[in-house]
Amino acid sequence: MIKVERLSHSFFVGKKNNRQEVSVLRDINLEVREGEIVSVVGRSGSGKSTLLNLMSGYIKPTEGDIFIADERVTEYKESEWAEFRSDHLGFIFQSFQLIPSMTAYQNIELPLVMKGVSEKEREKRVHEMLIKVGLDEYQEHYPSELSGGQQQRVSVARALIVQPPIILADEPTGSLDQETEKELLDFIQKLNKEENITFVIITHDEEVAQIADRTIRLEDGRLAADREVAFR
Amino acid sequence: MKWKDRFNFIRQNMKKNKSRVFMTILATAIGCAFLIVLASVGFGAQRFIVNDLMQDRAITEVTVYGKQSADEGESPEITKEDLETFQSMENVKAVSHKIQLRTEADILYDAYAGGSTVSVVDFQSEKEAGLNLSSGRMPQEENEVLIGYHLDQLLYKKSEEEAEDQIFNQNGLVKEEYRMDEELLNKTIEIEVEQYKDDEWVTETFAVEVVGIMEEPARDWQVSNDVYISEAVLGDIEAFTGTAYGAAIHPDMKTDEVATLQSEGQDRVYSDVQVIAGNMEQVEQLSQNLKDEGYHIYSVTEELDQINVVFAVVKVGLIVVGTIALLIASIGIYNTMSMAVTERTQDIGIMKAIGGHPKMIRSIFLMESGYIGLMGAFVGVVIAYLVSVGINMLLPFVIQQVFDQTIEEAIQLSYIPPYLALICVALSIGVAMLSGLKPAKKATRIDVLSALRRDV
Repeated sequence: MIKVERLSHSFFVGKKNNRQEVSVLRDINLEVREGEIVSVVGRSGSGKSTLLNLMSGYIKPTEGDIFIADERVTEYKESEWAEFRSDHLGFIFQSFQLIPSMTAYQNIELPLVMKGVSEKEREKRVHEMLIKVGLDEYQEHYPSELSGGQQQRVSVARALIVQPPIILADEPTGSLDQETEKELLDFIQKLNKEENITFVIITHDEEVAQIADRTIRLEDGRLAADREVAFR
Repeated sequence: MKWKDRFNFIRQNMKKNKSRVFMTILATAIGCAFLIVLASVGFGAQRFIVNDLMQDRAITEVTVYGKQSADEGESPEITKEDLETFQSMENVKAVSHKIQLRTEADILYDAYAGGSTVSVVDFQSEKEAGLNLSSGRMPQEENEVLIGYHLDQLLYKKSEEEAEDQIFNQNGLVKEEYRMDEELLNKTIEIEVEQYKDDEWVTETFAVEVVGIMEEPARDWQVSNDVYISEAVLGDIEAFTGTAYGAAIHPDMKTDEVATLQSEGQDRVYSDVQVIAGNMEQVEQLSQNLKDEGYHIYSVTEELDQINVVFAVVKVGLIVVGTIALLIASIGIYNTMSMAVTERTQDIGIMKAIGGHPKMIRSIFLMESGYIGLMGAFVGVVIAYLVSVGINMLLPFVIQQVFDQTIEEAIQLSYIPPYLALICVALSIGVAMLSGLKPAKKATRIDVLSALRRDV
């Protein structure tokens, strides 16, 4: 589903006369199969968020190639990425990234609005999704009126609303308490089993890593380990 | 994203900062209103002058003064042959012409008398040329005549001993106390002509019946004392005077001069020749054809063309000045849109992160600035119409107060043609969208990661 070949990423710091190259990722090769949950773990600064940002198209790699759903996305322009994201990718962020001036309903509806889906179809799908994530009573609530767990559920619902085959999650449980974290992980597992959605989850939380089929460990921008989780 | 959703999105965004959006719309409205009002003065002045020019002449008229003499002996005056040429020309609806009586003729009715201008006209041609009557009908018989609107107000009792300045008022009409009570319509009047014959002055009267009264002249100061007679009546007058066109002979004239007066008139010459075109568009072509044929002409369209060129320049100048106001308002729009983009950086980042197309984001901001322009233009047009009405209402009052003059006719200083309002609305929206272009571009260039980290 996702294939990364010899992927490297670096950036420059300092002024013109004293520029220094900082290498974040070096020669990464990995593959994520359809229907897998893959967790990417590592210490801070190991390059795991950069890897996810490269897969999301938010930044461009210095070297190497990325293939998602059999498409080489490495050289995609911004507009091509926009279309690709809306068709293939769902995103869950650590800080939820909900639009504060929109209600839970409007936040979930937003990807469909941007895709030009009809109002009737939107209404049907958003209501189904609200029930699915257990937020049908909170649809008119603004993010500031929801708990962290509820906000993350809105965020998940927004990612799922376009029925993407892949969901990229960056520290999805980072802002949640233990109980809510467990709820979310159960939900992710359920989605993975029932709808065969592929998950790539960036985390440093062992609990999260335990729900994964495979864990990829990064150390100083290099792939340190890539192994199946035996006891899932 | 559907247009309806984009529009809803914009409205939602605008609601977030109502006062700022309101002030921007107000600034645009004032700019737009200023532009319209300024240009409307140009339009008003042009309309006033053009209307004034066309008031006493039909726009389809081409006046022929004479012709260039090709040969030495040829007369520059318009003859029957010329009239036939005009009739046969393309685009000609009618040819109006007159033969003026070349003597002073008095009009007598009962005990009243007064001077008048007697002319021979072809009533059929006049009717075709658009001669209008205020009452009565067009003459059909030879002794039937039309009279000018003011003729009955120019007759007074001959026996009055008062001096003329006592009888006539400042408009040149007989004062009411000296006027006759009756109207001349359907009455028989007499045309009195004097001629010097056999060493003495002889007077003869010709009875004619008034069947129609012409309409009032367009200008307040014009006095119409015309009497339009048929060619047959002129023939009677000529038979009496013994000269062509009833020309008067004076005792101090030389014999050869008298002989000339008596011998000419074999070929009639016409004055006040007007060739009437079928419509306004044909006037230019007709004028050109007449010029090509060697006639000296004048048509109101020639003057109109010049006036329109002058006013086109004036209006462009006024619109340029007015546009400056709109450009100043556009700075406000730019500022508002830049603020909006900055405030919504995180929202834009989120939208881009989950698949928002840069084109869609740009179009949302462009539409928002365009919407501000549209609202501003709409309010501006309403303000401009109100100001225009106000100016036109206050103008006579201001002129009276400042210049101590009273205006009788209504002067429309400010006139807003609908297309001016439309042009300004389009200009306003255009300027607003141009102002929003840079902020909209900025919105599309927002870096997703920076926006999500909120460190923009």
